[in-house]
Amino acid sequence: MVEFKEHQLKNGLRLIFNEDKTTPIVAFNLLYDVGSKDEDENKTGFAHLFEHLMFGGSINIPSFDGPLQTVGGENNAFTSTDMTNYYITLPKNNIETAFWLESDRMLSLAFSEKSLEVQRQVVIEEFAQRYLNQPYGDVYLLLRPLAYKKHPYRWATIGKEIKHIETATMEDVKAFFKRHYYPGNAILSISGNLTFEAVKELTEKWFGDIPSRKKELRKLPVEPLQKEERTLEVERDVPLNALYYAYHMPSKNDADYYAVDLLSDVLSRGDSSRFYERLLKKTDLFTEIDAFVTGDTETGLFIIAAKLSAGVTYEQAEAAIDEQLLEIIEKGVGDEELQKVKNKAESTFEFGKTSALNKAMGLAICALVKEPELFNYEFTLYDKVSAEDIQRVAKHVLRRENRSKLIYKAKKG
Amino acid sequence: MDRSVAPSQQEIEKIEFAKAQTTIFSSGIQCHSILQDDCKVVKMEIEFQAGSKFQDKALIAAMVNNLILEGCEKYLAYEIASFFDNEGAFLDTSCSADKASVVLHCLERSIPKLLPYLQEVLSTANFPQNEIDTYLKINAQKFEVNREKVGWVARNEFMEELLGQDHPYSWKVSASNYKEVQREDLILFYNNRYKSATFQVYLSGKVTTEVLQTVENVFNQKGIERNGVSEVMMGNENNVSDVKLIEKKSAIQSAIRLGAVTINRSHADFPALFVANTILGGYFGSRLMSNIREDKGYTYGIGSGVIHLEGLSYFIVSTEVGAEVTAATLKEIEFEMNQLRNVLVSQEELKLVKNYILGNIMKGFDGSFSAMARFQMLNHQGLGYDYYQNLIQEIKTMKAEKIQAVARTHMNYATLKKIVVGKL
Repeated sequence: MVEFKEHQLKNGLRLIFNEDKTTPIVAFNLLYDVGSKDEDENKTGFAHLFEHLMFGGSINIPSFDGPLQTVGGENNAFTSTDMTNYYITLPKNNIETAFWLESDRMLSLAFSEKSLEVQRQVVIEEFAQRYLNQPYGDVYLLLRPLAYKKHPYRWATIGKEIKHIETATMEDVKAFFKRHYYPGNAILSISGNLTFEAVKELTEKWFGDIPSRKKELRKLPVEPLQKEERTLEVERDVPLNALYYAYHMPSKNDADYYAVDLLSDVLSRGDSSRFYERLLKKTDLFTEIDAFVTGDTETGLFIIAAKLSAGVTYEQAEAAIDEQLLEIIEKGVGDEELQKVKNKAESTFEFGKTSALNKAMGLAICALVKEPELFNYEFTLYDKVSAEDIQRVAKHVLRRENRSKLIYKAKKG
Repeated sequence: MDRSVAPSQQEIEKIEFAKAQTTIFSSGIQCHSILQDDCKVVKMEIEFQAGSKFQDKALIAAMVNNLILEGCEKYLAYEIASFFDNEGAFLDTSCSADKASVVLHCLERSIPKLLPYLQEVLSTANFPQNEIDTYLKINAQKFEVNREKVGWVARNEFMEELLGQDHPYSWKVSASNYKEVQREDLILFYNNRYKSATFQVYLSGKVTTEVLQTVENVFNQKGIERNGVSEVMMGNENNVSDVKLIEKKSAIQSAIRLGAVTINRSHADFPALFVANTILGGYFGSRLMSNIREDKGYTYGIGSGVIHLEGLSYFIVSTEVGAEVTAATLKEIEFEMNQLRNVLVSQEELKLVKNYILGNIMKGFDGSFSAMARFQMLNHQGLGYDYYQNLIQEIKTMKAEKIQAVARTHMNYATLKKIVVGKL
């Protein structure tokens, strides 16, 4: 049980605090409720580019990293489809430096042209390093727009194409900041050997006078129900043929989310899972095969990803996977098999509570998705899933007309 | 409130460590533990002297390490995997140049059930031929995928370039290696380095006295002491060295790896080298990052580090950059290394780096799992916790002149071995 206390400032900022007496550092996690799903379809990759710009100096402080490192701190950030999350760890005696730096960049950025030019280039290199210069690196750039036709999940966080990053203007940057970076759109979560009173006081002191803004209601386009299977075939300079299935699945706020997540575990978590044992080990068809959920807040994807052994045809590979899917739809799972994946989920949760940073981040993300308490009870949502639930969601999700298929072929010679 | 003024800063005076307790069983096996009472989980690492430097053939050490869980006298691979999966446990293996480990992550309540079974698996592994065939088949094809990654190719080539072909740390993998492995090779290595050998145990998390007792009951067995190669091993001469280019015409980015053999953690110059390296490329605000990423935008990331193996330490600079700026990047790396040698570090930068390092050491003790990783490093290098006390003292009093002197002795761009995979 991770104990925590909460407080909300008048300007809307939410504070969550976990007292951890055992750690020498403090974890300071500031999450903004903005992700790539909030982007304009003609300006994709912006939430992530913006995350880079957050380190280019704020209204009163020219450098973010320098002053933090000077007091022994370290920081990083990530952007996903649903959130942008900034986190700092530093010696507890210097906690106020984190408040100073983060509150100033929530107040306003420096908006320097040089920073925009350089970070644009850095993000283009990131695009190249992670998505273009890696074998199979562009799979999700292809799979997302195949599976989604309307919903903004149809582009990856890095963006649809490099061009969107290249053409971003300072005006765009300022508008994005104004729209998404304000107290009511943020959750501050802290874990460390401090008192709640001290943390509350510092939060009021540094964030209290930042003007509030009315939280905009999010109106995302609804993804129309998929009615028939979609297939995309591409050829790339890679050594092995690969195959990807993507199925639409329930959102994180739907009770069935947990059943679908466990379904993916039954298929491919651990060396005793069905795919690993039956397809990877017992046949010569695959060199890799996985099933997993994207874990998005809104209706995400259930994905099966496989690399085919040399000489194996797509017909053989698909038949083998489909046979496994059909079996689980028709026969369901055994109680022991279900208990196994629940036990895995339980130990995963317990390991997630063993450092201050994990706790601070976990509480903030749970607060965004639903409520911070979720961090403590999320496992019970897995534990409640029955064998019937798994079979029911398998039947519902693993339908052919709910599937997008990517045939990723190795170029010959 | 003037927001342009930083809050008053507290100096980091001392760092409180969660220290490991070491128990030596009657058999001589060392068991190290750090208790973290507020959690429900345990991590147990069993570490053997079985790294790749002990192998006579490529792949053998990694394969034995991986396949040790894939079958034993009593159980098949599937049964073993099921047993641990059923308890929600995670059983992994890892193999480096020096050591090989089997790592168990599980709920504390599963310990009494899992340990006797694990002991049986590790002491009676039998390397079934079908598992060997599956491993080779899958990994030979994964190798083909890795060969397309410039960073992977550079890593695979680096140690040989640094140390010469016949050095025990120079193993590099080629496609033909996957056809040369025999079951006998694996069994011989296993018998020597696992089955009849002693090992060390590292425990962190909810390590209660009951857990410790179970570990002792199950694993306290006589084994032969197999020493690592602990004498100092030499690398190639640090002569002036040209760039070795491994061309990949389709590359959008080039991978760069530069390096040289250097001093170890016990050397009197090490704290200064540590600070010099941090300034150069050891953290996000480093000079290489500031110049090559934050000023020029050539790369998503660049770093330098000092890596310590048993009896051999080396300095390395590593990055992936836009293919068309490969040569320009090399120039900037050379420039930054020369700056360290030619110009004294400013007081402001020095203060920042000192505090950053101290904070980072402190972060290394956030939770028992991190704290155990720190202890394990000390143990590998034959150091005690006084290493950290000394390092902290040295860093706090470090002068710019000392850093410059050490950079002049130990950081010379011309003599670095240089690999570029991609385009130049």
